[in-house]
Amino acid sequence: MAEKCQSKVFVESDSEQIDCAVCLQSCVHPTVLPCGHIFCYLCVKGLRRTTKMCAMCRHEFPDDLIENPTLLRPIESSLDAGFEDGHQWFYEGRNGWWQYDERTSKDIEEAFKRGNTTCDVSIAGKIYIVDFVEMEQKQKQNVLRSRRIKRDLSTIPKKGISGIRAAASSQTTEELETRLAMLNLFEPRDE
Amino acid sequence: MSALPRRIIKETQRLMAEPVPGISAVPDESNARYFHVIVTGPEDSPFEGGLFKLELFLPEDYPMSAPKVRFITKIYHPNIDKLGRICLDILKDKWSPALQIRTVLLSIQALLSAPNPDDPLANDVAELWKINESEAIRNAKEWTRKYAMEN
Repeated sequence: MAEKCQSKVFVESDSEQIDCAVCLQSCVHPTVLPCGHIFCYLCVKGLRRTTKMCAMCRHEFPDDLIENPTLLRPIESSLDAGFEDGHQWFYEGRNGWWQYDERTSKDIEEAFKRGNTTCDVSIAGKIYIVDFVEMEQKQKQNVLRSRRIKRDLSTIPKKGISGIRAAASSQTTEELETRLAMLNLFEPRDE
Repeated sequence: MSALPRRIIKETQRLMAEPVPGISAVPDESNARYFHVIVTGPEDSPFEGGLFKLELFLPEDYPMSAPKVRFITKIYHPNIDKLGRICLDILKDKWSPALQIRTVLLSIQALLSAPNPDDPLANDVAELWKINESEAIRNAKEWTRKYAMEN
């Protein structure tokens, strides 16, 4: 499982699933660290909060990687994706709403559809209680830290997905290749 | 009852389906974050033939922080103290979220094969291990027979 993460980056492999060595599931918004190892964006966020190192090789990585991540694929295709009725789950940030990442959103929707009043979700290594009565999410270990949540049309104006700004992700394939080449990670294929 | 992160479910399923030779880890019936562990003493070590009970607990922010592991069976080892606490870097500052329950337990089993008296937790044991290794090994075998071979 983890072994696959050791491999270097192939920009073309859009459909290929990359396993994340932190959550042990397929990567959601695969994010490349300067050392070349790839994890979910939210797992990288969890690493930044705790060990501050790559989970595979223990190389430190810069803080601004969270603000300005090197994403393997742009988030555009996920931005307006919603459930069958065109809705999506959001949480409130400063001056706007963030869309939940796909995995969390799906978990929240399933609990909501089952008619639960709350559900627990694990985000970046922390457990949050999603409360459908108050329509807020709280940190389980610090319930005073809460944010409003809402279920709304997936097309509403939003800041981005789970901390990845919509604008930051609009890099072209060439830009991504340039960034990866700077890290010596992208090897152009022989024609 | 709170939902268990998928990673913990996945690790537990794999521990059951593909157990590590010489190690068993079974989640408690009432708390899926608490594991009952048995590690067999490695061959060619003073702990050979012993079955050592440990407890392993996955804290709330696991895998961002390390599991808490402790020997329940008494053991004569320079890096394990009277309370069963283990001196092992990956359980402290060398923890990485890419490590798993199985890799942690394998490291503990390896620690039984390779005691490190220069980084002691049980000072009296480490001292004897350094000045009179054969006597220390005799003690370790004696404790293994006495505490780790009962049924």
